[in-house]
Amino acid sequence: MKDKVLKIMLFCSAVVLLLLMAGILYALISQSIPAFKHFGFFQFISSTEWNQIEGQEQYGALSFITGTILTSLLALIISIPFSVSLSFLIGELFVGKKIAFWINSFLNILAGIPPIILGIWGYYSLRPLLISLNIGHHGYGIFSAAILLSLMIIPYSTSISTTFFALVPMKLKESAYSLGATRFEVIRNISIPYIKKCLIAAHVFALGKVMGETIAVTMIIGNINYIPSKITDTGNTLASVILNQFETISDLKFSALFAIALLLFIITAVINLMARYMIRRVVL
Amino acid sequence: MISYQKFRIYIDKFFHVIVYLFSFIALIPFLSIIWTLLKKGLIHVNPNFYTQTSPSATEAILANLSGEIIPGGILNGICGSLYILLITIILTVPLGFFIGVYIHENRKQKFSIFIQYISAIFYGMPSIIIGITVYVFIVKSFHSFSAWAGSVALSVLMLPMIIRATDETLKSLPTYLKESGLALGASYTSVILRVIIPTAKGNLLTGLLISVSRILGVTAPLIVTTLGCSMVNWDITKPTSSITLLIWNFSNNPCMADMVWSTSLFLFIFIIVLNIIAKHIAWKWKITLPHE
Amino acid sequence: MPGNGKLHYLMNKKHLLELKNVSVSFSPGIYAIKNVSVSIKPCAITSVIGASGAGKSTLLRSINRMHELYPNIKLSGEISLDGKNIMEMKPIEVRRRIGMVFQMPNPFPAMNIYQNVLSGYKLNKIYLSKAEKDEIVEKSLQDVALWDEVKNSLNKSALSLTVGQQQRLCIARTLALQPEFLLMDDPTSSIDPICTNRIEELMYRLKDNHTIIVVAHNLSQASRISDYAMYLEKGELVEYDISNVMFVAPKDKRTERYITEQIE
Repeated sequence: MKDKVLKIMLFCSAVVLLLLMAGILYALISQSIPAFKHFGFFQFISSTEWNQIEGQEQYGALSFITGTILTSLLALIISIPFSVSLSFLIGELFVGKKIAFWINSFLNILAGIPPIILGIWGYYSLRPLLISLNIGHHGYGIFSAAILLSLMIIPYSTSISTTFFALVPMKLKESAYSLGATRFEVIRNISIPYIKKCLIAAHVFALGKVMGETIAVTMIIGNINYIPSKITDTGNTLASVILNQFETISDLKFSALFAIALLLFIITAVINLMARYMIRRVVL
Repeated sequence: MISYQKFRIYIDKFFHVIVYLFSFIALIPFLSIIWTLLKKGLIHVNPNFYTQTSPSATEAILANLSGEIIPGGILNGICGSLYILLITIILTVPLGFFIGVYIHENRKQKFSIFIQYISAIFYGMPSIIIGITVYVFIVKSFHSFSAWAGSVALSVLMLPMIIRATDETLKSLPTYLKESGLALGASYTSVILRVIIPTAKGNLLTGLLISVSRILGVTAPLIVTTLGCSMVNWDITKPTSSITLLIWNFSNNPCMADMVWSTSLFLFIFIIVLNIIAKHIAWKWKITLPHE
Repeated sequence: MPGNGKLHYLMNKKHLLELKNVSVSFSPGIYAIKNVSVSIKPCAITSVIGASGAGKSTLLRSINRMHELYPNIKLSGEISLDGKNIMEMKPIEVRRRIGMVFQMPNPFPAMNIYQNVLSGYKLNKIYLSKAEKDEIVEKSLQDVALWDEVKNSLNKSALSLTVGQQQRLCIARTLALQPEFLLMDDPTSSIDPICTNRIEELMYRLKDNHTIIVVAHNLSQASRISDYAMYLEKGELVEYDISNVMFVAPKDKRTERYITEQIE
C-alpha cells in the first residue's frame, strides 16, 4: 500500500519535470509569435537589422546567430591545444606524480569560477592587455569574448580528457612501447584513436555550454547589434543580446527577444542531444 | 638527410616541448585571475565589509575623491544570496531526488527515457532563458521583481544537477543491496529510506553541496527576476540582492570598481570552501561496500 | 514470528513447498526454466545442481518472488506453500517465511552488527522491546556460531568483519525473522574453506527446524550436505532424488554425464 503511494509520488515528480519544460516552451513560443508574425520566420532569422526607434522598428536575429557561432567556435578552437596539452601532461606524461595532482586540483578549483568573475577579469584585466597589444582599439569584441569562453572550457575539457586518457588500457600502450614507439607516437596512434569519439563528444558538449553563456560574454562583447567584420570587432550573441536589451519596453522588441531565446533554446538543445547521442554510441 | 629514426626522436622531443609550453601558457590567465582577485580584493577585508549594506554612488564618489576606502559592505548581498538559496534548496532537493529515483528505478521504460532526455535538455539550458521565462510567468503576473521569482529561476537551474547527482549515486550502488532488503520482506519504501539513503548519504550530500556552489555563482537569471536591493530584505515578494547581483551592479558603476574585486574575492573563496567541504564529506562518508 | 511483545519459537512443524509446472521467461519465447514440478521435502536440505545458465538461480529467485522486481520477467505455473499459492499471498509475507541468502556477503553498510541482525524487523517496521531485541540478536548470532566472536563489538560496523563472518552475519539476519524456508544461492563460493566448513555445519544444524534449498556449483559440497538433489539442464528439471542415490547411480543419462564431467 505504502509502496503504491511512493510509486505514484515518483511518477508525479517526473510529470512535474515535464510540466516545467512545457511551461518554458509555452512561454518561449507564445511570446515570440508576435515577432515571427510581424517579420516572418525566415525574414527574422536572416535579417541583421536592429532598429528600436518607434515607427521604424526592425528586428532580426542573424547578427546574433553569427555572434554566437563565431564566439563559441573560436573559443573551442582556442581551447583545444591548451586543454589537450594539459591533459597530456596530467594524464600521460606526469600521471600519478605530485605535480599532476596539484595541477589537477588547481583546475578543479578553477572549474568552479563563476562566469561573472571571469567577466570582471575580462573587463578590467584582459581588455587593457589587448589594447596594449594592439589587438583592437578598445579591447571589447568577439576575440575577447572567445578568450573568456575558452577559459571556461579549458578546466572542464581538461578533466574530461584526462579521465578518457586513463581509460586507455595499459596493455595496449605497453605493446606499442615494447615495439619501440616514442611517447608521441603512442599517444598519436594508440591513445587518441581509442578515445577519439569520446573526445569529440565531450567537446561538442562544451560547445553547447558556451553557446548559452550570458554574463561573461555580456561584459566584454561590446553590445553592438551588427555582424562583426573582423574578429576584433564588437558584436552580440544570442544570449548576451537578451540580457543587454531586456530593460526596454516596446512590445515588439520584447517579442523579438523571446524569438531569439527560442532560437537559442533550439540550438543548445540540439547540440546537447547530439553530444549525448555520440556518447551513447561509444562503448569503451 | 637525417635518418628517419633520428627524425622520430626529434618529433618526440618537439612534442614534449610543445606540451610543456602550451600547458604553461594555459595556466597563466588563471593565475592572473587569482592574483588580481587577491591583490585588488584584499583591500576591503574588514568587519564592516560583511556587516554593512552596499554604499550608494555618492558615497563611493566621495570616498574616491578623498582617497579613502569606499564605505559600506555587502551584507545585503550575503543575506539575499542565502535567503534565495534556502528557498531554492527547499524547492529543488525533494523534487530532484524523487525524479532521480524515478529515472533510476524505471530506466528502460519509454516514459522514463523521455524524461531522461528532458532532464538532459534542462541540464544544458542557458540560464537566461530560464530567467526570462520566470519573468513572464511570475514577475509580469505579480507586477514586481521578487525574491521568490529568483528562487524559482534558480530552482529550475539546480533541478537537473540534483537529478543527475541522485541518479549517479544510485547507479554506483550494487543491486544486491536493494535485493537483500527486499528479500527480508521489506516494502520498497522501507528499503529506500532505511538502506539505500543511509548508505549513500555521503554522495548525495556531496552532490548537493557541489550544485549549491555552482548556483551561488549564477547572475543572469537573477538580473531579470530579483533585480537587486540596496538593503537587507527578508520579504519574499520584494526584490532582493545577491552577491552576484552586487558584483554586477558595482561593475556598472565606474566609481565602485574597488568593491567589485572584494566582492568577487569573497564569492570565490566561499565557493572554494564549499567545494573543499564537499570533497571532505565525499571522502569521509564514502560509500563503502562489503568485500572490497 | 516474533513481535508485538511476544516471543515464540517455531515448533518442529513441517511446511510443504511445491512447484507445479513452473516456467520463467525473460522475454517472450526465451525460457530460463521450463515446466519444473517438484515437491520439496520439508526439514531437509535440497541442493540444486547444474551447469552455468541452467536456471538454478532463476528457480531460487522465483520461489521468493524476487523476479517481480524486473517487469520483463514472467512466471507461469504454481508455487504453493502449505497448499496456498504464493502468488495470492502478499510478497512481503512470502519473503518473511522464505528467507534468502545471496552469493556475495552483503551486510548493510550503514548499520552496525547489532542493527544488521535486526534489520529484518526494522525494515518491516515491527516494534520490539530492548529485551526482545537483545534476545533475538544473541540467539541468531549463536545459531550461526558468531556470537562468541562479536558479542563485545556489536556496535562496530558490519564491514569490519571478515568475509566469512559477514556471510554468517547475513545468514543470522535472515534467521532472525524465523523463516520456515531458507534459499541459499551458492553461499560459500566467495569464502575460504575453513569458513565454508563452518557454514556447512550450520546448515546441517538448521535443517532440524528449516527447509533449506541450496544452489551448489560445487558437487562435492552438494553431495556432502544435501539430503535431496535436483539436477537442472537448460531450464528443465532432469532428475530429483535422494542425493546419495543420485550422485552414485543417477537414473538419467544427462545427470550421469554432468556428474562425471564435474568429477573430472
